Amino acid sequence: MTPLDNLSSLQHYIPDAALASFAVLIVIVDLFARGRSKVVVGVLSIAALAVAGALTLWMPHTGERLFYGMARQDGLAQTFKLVIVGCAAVTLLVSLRTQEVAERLRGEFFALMLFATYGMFLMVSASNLLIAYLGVELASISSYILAGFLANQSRSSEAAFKYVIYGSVASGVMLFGVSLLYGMAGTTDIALMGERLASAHPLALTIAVVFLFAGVGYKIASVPFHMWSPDVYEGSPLPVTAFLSVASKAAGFGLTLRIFRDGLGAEELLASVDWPLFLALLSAVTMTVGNLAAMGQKNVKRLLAYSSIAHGGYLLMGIAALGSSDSSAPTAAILFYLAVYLFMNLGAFFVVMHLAEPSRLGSEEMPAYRGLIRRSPALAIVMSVFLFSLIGLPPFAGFWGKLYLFKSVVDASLVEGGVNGHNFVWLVLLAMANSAISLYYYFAVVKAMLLDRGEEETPVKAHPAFALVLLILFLPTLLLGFFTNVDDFRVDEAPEASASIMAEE
Amino acid sequence: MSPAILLIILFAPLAAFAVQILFGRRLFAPKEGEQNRIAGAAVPILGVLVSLALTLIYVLPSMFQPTDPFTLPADGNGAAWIDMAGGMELRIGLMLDNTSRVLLFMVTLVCSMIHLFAAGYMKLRDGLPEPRYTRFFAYLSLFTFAMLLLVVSDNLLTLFVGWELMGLCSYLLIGFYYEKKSAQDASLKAFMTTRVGDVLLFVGMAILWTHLGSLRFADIHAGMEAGNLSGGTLTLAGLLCLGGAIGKSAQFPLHTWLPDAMEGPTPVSALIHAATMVAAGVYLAARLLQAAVLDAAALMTLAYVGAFTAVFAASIAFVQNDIKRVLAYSTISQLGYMMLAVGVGSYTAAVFHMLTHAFFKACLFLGSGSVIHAMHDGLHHVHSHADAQDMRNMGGLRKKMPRTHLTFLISTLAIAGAPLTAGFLSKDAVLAGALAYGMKNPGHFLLPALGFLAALMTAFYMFRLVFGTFYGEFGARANEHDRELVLQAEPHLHESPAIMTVPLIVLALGALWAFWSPMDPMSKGWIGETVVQHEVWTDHGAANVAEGGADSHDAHNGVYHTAHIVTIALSIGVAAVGFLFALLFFGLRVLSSERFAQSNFARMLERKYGFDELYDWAFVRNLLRVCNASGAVDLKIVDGLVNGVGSAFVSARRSFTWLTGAIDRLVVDGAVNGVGRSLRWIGAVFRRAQSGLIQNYLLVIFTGLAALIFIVAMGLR
Repeated sequence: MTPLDNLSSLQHYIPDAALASFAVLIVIVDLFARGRSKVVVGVLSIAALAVAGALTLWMPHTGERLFYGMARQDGLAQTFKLVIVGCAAVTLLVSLRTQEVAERLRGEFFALMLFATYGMFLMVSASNLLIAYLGVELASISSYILAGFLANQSRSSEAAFKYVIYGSVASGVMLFGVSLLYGMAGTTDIALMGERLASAHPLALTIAVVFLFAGVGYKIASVPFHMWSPDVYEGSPLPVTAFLSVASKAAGFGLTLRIFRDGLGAEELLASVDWPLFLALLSAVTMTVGNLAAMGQKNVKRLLAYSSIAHGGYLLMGIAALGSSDSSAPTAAILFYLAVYLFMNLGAFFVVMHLAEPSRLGSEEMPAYRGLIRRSPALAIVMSVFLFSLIGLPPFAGFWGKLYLFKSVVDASLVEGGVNGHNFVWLVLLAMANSAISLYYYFAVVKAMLLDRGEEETPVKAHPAFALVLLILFLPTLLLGFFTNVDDFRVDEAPEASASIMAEE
Repeated sequence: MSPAILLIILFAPLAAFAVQILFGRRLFAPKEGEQNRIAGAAVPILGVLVSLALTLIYVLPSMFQPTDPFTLPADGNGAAWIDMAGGMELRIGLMLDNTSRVLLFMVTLVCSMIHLFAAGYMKLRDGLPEPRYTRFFAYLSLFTFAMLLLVVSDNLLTLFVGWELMGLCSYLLIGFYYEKKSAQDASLKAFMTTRVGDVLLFVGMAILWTHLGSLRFADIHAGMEAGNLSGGTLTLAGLLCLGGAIGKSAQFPLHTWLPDAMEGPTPVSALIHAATMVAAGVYLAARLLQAAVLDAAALMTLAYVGAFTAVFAASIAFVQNDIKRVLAYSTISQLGYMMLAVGVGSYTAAVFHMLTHAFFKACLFLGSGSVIHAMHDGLHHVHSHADAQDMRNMGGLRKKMPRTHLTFLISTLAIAGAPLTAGFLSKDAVLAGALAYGMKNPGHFLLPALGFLAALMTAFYMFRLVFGTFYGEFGARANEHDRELVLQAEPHLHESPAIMTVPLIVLALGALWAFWSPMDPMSKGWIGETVVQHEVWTDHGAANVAEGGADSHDAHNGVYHTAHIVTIALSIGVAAVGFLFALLFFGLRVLSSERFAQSNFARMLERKYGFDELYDWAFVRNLLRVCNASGAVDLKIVDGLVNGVGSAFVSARRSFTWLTGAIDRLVVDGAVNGVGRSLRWIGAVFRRAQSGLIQNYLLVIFTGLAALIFIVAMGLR
């Protein structure tokens, strides 16, 4: 498919362009809005996400290569964008009335959310490493400020500070990797570079790929680039934490998927740099570290933060499986898992956030959750469902997500030749063992809520608007596995670095 | 000699650096209230002594066997480091020819002495234990490694790596007392100024590589012989490369950083000014000469720069009162000599003077360190804040510090070029080369003339230093404000301990004539026999260079022979005149320098001809102005356009101040009761790794990157 020029690209870029325009508009409107009219800003932000989401959903995604091949409008980008925009929308809904963000600054908060969302859009639709880097930076810089939004709380400021330093280093290393790749391939186009890299020096290529992975690895909080996440998740305002743990991670996976599937998936390349094994090892370490660190954590927010590292580890397993001859099954499994993860993780985070408000439990510590079933049966049960789903217990959506993901890895391992010559069944077994570990700590929360007897007996009431949001998250967590399956998430195949692309060079 | 020995010589200091920087503090730092122990310096000293011992046993003897240069890889073609498409590649390797061998000997010996001396010198700072004692020696080791790498490289690329490493180390060491603003400024100045030269060098290297396809000296030479680079491009490449040498060797006009570099601890001054950094510039120039990269125009430029710098720096040294600054300007001046030697094509003379200079200049610097050490102690005892480095507060130290005095005197004689010293031999070789050049090209009579003038000036200001420090009466010339306390300090002055004086004695021995040229004064000496240019260069306009230079040191070589005899007579004469004037002015004080000191000329000298001010006015301030202007534009635009987002940035910035108190807030108490105690323990380890300290996290990133690269590289098929 030939790349489109700038003007004819625009018609395919309407959803993204709408989002970006709205973001700028909100900054301007916010400048003039005073007092009660600030509500306009919130409504406008929701509208922006709704429009962008609807356009993304309904616009045909035919795999066009836009802006002379800088971005790609294909099914993969579409699905990731839907996950991201969904996460952003729910987060925005919740933060409309959060106490954590001062009324005065809410306009900026929304604007930054939209900018971050747009950055993530860029990440998942990039078909050129430069655009990918641009997206990473845009999403990161907006997130830095979001993380430090509670400027009068030292832990928030500290989180932002660490995030800035960590993120700059990681993206700097990534940029270095990009420059190395450019030096070897002569192009930053992801689809083009694979073929050209096949003849590059294997060690140089290894270094470049590892460096490149530092940037996306930091986004998906993969070991050893995960250290920022517990501190940032803990220090940030809770809506931001939820946003980062889902949308940012999804965007990171979108980019990772594209780089490894489209860019580095060529057979000659796999023969020289064995990245599936590399990613499988990282996946194993990441899920284990995340789960073990979450174990024994008494602060529920921090517990969820660590466990989200572990979920990143599971997802990396799918990326490793991309090195097999059929990359579409692992891709679909990753997409399905992310969609499920969106609902269950956001749900769990928001319950924690809601309970942490002073009028309710006023705490994120596990002892405060004791006996919640007597104080607010609905919240306790909903939270339990989210946690069960995160563990991967049937029949909740998390179970199906894990099932498809594990299955895709096993399938890929058992075909002739396996995943680049490796059999990753051991990885699946390890992931199962990890799920068992996660059972232990997630269940500790459930036990505190349902079985323990607390000191307080006063009822806790959920805000009606918030209850509605929770319901939006709860129903899919409960039912997604029954109404849809992984085949609905199959997207277009990896583009061939075909003769047509080469010919136009 | 096996390749392993060369590798050990090269990497022993690096290994010492790694051990010292990673574990030094933990293993050797003194406990609260204790003094620093020599153990804190043991690993680096051991590292450099290993290099020295192996050099003495294996490398130095092989100089006297007529062999081809020792190369690694053995086939002498280097190994491909980076292999690029289209047949372009970067090949690197190690090489030991006689020049490298003798320099290896010099660097390891002088560095060893400096390491030992520093072990004593650095123990205290202002009467308290030096808090960064172990780190200091880590830097020294890295510095030594960088210089060794530079010396054994067979190509410009790894030479450049060592070159830049030294730039880094000099920055760290000059700014070692970074609590002092002046030290910070000096380290920055050294770094930035040499960087100017380094950029030129890099561009020069790029030109060479694009035209010749290789950066190895042998390939460059072969390429030059084949005529692959000539004309204006060649001149440009040569001049650019020399730009690097001029920056590193602090030649005019990039000389301003070196006197300021005296802000570093004295052993650092000795290291930078004698054995390593500044010698690197001369070494590069000599290598370029050998590889025939320098054509007539480039050589002539270099010769004039060198000759001018020699006189120019010597004149500034006339009026300096800080003992280390005098030595700093004398270093610049002596480096000018070496550049002059390269410029007139006297390859051997340049290397020879670099060697002897390393010995006596290291000895002088360490001697001044010994004096400063004593003065510091003495003044500290009486709680005086007088300057411990100012000559006017000294005098008569010869009785208090006999060993320091004797070694200092020998070295001064050597630098002044008195007979029976090493400096006499090497300076003669340089001047003879210049004179021969002048005789062949009468239009350039200025070169030898400036050379002899500088020799006279050297003798004068060096003896001014000796008389002012070691003779006369102690404290007689201190200003009135300080005099009383300074005089009280006299009983507290003492000779330095053996760990400091032994290196002085070893270095002073190297400054003697006997070491370099045992018997016949008209023979070439072993340096002249062994360190010769591989081949006479191709004839791209270098014909008017002195015939064969100093390496044709034998008696039957027409012009050079005549020049040599004239030189011996003349140089003894000018040195004697310089000494005599110094004696009359500062030793016997029968003549007074008062009137001179009040003249406008002296004031101009004191301001170093105003170059600092000029650069400040021309570059530094304008640069700052540009930075400020662009910063202001940025601020205004950002502020004007998005006030809202701007305020978010402000709050982000405000948060920085909140950070200070937040350290290690992580609470890892026992986990939930139940199964999996061991798993929980592992989990706790991971969480403890989550220390909350960003620097640890970054450390994890980079160790992680290294580990990942290693793991994947292991699986490369």
